[in-house]
Amino acid sequence: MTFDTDQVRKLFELARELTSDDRTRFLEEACGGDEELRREIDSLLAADEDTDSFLDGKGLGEALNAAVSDNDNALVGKMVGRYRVLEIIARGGMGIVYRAEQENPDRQVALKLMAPGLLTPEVARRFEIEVQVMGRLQHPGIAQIFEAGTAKIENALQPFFAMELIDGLPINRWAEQRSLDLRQRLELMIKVCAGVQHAHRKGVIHRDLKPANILVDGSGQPKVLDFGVARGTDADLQVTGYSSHGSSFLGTLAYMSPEQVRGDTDELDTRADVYSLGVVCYELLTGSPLHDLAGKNITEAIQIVVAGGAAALTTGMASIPQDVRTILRKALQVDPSQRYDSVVARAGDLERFLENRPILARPPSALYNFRKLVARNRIASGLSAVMLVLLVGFGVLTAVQNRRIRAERDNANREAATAEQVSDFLQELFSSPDPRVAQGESLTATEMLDRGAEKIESELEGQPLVQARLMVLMGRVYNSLGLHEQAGSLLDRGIEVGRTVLDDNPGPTIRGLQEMAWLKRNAGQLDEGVAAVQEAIGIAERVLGPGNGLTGDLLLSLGLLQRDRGDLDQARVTLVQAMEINEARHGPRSREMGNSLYHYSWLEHQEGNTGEALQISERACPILEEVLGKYDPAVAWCLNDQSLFLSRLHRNEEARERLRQAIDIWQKVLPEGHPHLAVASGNLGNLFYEQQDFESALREYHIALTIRRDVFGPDHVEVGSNLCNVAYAERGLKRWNEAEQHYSEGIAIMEATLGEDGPRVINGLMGLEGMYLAQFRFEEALRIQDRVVESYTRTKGAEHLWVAGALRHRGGILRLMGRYDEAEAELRRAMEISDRQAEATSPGRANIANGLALCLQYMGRLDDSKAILEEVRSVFQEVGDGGEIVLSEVYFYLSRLARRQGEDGEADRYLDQAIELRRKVRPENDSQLLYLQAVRTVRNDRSAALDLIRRAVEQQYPPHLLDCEVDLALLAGDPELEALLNR
Amino acid sequence: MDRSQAHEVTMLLQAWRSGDEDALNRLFPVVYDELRRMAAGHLAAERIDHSRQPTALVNEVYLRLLPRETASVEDRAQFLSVAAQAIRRVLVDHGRKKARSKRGGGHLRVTLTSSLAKEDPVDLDILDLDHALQRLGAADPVDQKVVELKYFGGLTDVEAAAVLNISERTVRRHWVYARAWLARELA
Repeated sequence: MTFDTDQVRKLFELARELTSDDRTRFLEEACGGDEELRREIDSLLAADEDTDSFLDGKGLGEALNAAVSDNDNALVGKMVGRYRVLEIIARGGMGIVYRAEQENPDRQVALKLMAPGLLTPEVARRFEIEVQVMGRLQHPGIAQIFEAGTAKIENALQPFFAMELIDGLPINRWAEQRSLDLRQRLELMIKVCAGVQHAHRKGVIHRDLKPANILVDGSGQPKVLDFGVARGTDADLQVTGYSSHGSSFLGTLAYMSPEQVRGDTDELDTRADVYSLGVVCYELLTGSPLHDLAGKNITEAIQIVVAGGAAALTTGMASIPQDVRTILRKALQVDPSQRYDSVVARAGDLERFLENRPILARPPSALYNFRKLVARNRIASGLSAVMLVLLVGFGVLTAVQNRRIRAERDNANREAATAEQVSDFLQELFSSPDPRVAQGESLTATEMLDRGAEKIESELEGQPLVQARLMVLMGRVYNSLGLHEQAGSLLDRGIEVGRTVLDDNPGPTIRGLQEMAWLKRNAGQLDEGVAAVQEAIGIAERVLGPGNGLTGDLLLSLGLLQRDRGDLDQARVTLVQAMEINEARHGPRSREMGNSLYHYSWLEHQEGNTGEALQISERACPILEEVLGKYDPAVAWCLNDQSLFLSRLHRNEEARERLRQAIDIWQKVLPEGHPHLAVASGNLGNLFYEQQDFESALREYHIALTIRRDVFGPDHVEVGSNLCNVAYAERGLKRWNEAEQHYSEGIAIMEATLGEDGPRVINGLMGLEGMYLAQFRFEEALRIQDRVVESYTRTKGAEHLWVAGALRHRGGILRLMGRYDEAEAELRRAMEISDRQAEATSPGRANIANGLALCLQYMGRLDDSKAILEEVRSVFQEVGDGGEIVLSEVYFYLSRLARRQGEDGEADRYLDQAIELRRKVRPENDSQLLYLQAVRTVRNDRSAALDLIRRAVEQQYPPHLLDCEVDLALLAGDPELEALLNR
Repeated sequence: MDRSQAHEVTMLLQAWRSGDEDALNRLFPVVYDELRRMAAGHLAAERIDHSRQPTALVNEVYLRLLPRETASVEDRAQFLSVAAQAIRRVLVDHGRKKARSKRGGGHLRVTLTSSLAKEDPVDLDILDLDHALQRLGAADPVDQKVVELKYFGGLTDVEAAAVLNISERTVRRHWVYARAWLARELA
């Protein structure tokens, strides 16, 4: 070129703007005589005329594809390492996958080569990492890598790896082809989960799980392909990048998690895989895709996927068992944190979840439900249970894995939160079994739990926080199942492991100790229980500081234990403190406050302040109802207790009404056969019992017994206790043999678990003793009472008021046996204890004094007797209301004294006072009242007296207390009375 | 897309902008690799789209390598420039390979014209185009660059202007001239 290109360009640009005529003139002038320049510009202008579509880029994409394709196919027929390349199977990820054959061993493999682009050190390094990752994965559910190496291709060293070539069908097509039933499909899915779980544990996320990537081979083993291949990944790209259509892209999109589709690529973790598996599972089970994206444009498709799978779970679900549905719904949540977190989300925060703990004394329905399953000794669908376990494991490992992946971002709090979520997830899973699902599967929930416990120990090694948390959680589950031994050892482990991370996160240790306290409480080891809670409180205060959210709850636990231990004053202080903390922290109308009041009302009840208890309960129930909604088991419990208080106050109509409300709630929210319904029936039975309607009581007790046997198994404490209730009702019906048998059976069952000192064991024994007395089997009754005295002395200490009470009772039996000296000695021992331990006005002391006075009367020491009775009378006359029962007894004994001294007039006057006092607080058909009236009328109207005695006995007046020496001396030898006595 | 890679791409782009030529050498393979993979993806999905504009392709690569929120406008422009070079190189490499191959039976043809403008489409050898571009560039590097960006990279005038740090009007002037020049050379 001899001319100036700048000049050419300038003239070309100017000329181009001109019309043809102007242009010629312009160029002639501008070029002067430079023909070469003129030709140059003319040729450019001519070319320019035709360039409208020149270089418009059409066809470039095709050319690129062709270039790539030719490059890739260049290897077909050639050797790569020991492998001869046969054909391209797939392209994608970081390279191309070929079918290739190997001579020794003679097999076909999938050969993956890095795309023959530019092999930079960086790319090679990435490939190397991928190879390493893949090499770590060894699982029947994952396509196995055979060899990694480098091969010289076109003078360049290129890394490759050879892996298992899967000759199979995508999972959904395989299932269709074989017409698999639900169970088989679930089994298949479980195997897939196992493979993916393995990878997650090794730190590998798939991110492109879809049926096309899950092939099932001839043996029925599903194999997940493209682990690591998808790294970095095609799937992500396709969403963020593709603005166009394409069926294969939509096919991939349909299985992606919302966060993937949104392009939150740095948020991706194992939960994205969980989601995708959920989508695959849905399709496998229902036969149709979760998202039908056919015919949708890309924008619509993305909107659908981003909305999440849970929302789409409406159709085709009828055939899926409830628990699987629950799992799917959980796996398909839009927000990854919600996938295992709905309990927490619903509850608002973790503390609230913790606050619910006291209810564990009566375990929350989730655990009850689960317990029910165990009792049946099979999970409603064993398969879904297995799947559940796997998914649970999945969740656990997800938490661990995510932590590893995001290690740099995580702090201890977040870790704790993650683990909590997992725990709650576990519990949530347990909470939704469907009793309607077909039966006949063999895996027991206990086996399932055992497996879970093992998994925690082995697979979470080096993750002490998560480990401890799950051990404690599993301990709780075991505990609620009544598997106390396993619960104890797992809790011990959990607490032990938890202590190693105490300053990091004391949560597991605190909750472990709290649960351990309940365990001890159930075993009757209340001191150990108190010690455990106190340690938990100490840890919470030290590590979390005063005013932490756990103290209120822990104090509530402590208060309940103290209450059970009989330290009512201490319990009151503790519970009030718990209430103050909860009120300050959670507000006066919070669930926590409702709970505190609820427990406090029971304390008042136990202290005998039933009126107070009722008032507090009437505050607690509306709060709970307000916070939890009308149909919540906690509200039912509150009403249940309120009913009990009402019945104690003889407001039986209201009591029954409350109880029916409670039962109504339970029946609405609980499945048939739920243990709470057993409690309800039991309480209804108690109400009938109180009214002496023994037939109805027995019926209700049997309903409860059936449920409890079913739920807890035949040897459970609750069953034992229930058997004793049955025996009480039978005793009322005078079915002595059955009653004796049921007492013995029930006591033996409870003793096996609670030990000989268990409070409920003692209660059962006293019931049996009462029956022996009614049958005049004094020796046997005395043996039982000996045991009671020993037990109280052992567990409470020799100076405890309960020992005094037991001695009084023993003295009474001895008196009935005519062993007056011994009786007096026991009663005096009891008096001494109560003099040291109790107020002079305490009803307990008064009862002992009355017993002693009566005994002295039998011994003929009438003055001594009278002195004691007068003393008690003066004390209780001061007290006024509330002392009616004791005073009535005092007047009765005074009347006996007068009668013995031949002062019938005075005797009748005392008797009238006794009757009047008793009538104030007891109904007309009260057996003692009937007896007093009988004694009063015996002198005037023999047959009326006999009639009253008959009615008293019908109302359970103990026949051994029918006194023919003084009270009914006029009737002595009467055949009718004899008949009543011998019945 | 992993985050570290996006970060790396951003860093390389910034280094390149501030005059580190080596940064381009390190960036190029990453983009090239992605581009190839994209093209392969199209092929695998049997979605060969004859009317597909390189713009779409390059944008996909861009979005893949640089998440929207992390990249600046400058990053984007320069990235597109790298992608345009990469596409050119893919095609030229392939053309050379074909030319060497005895079995290949000729050169890869890139159809440059649309049927609307001309009755007979003109087939253009990618190697011829490449050589012509190099000659064009020898006279004025900006001409070559503009063609590369707009043709191979599918950049708009605005984007090309940003990459080359010249006005849009200047981009259009270079484009008109270069296009005419190439059309004449390759006719």
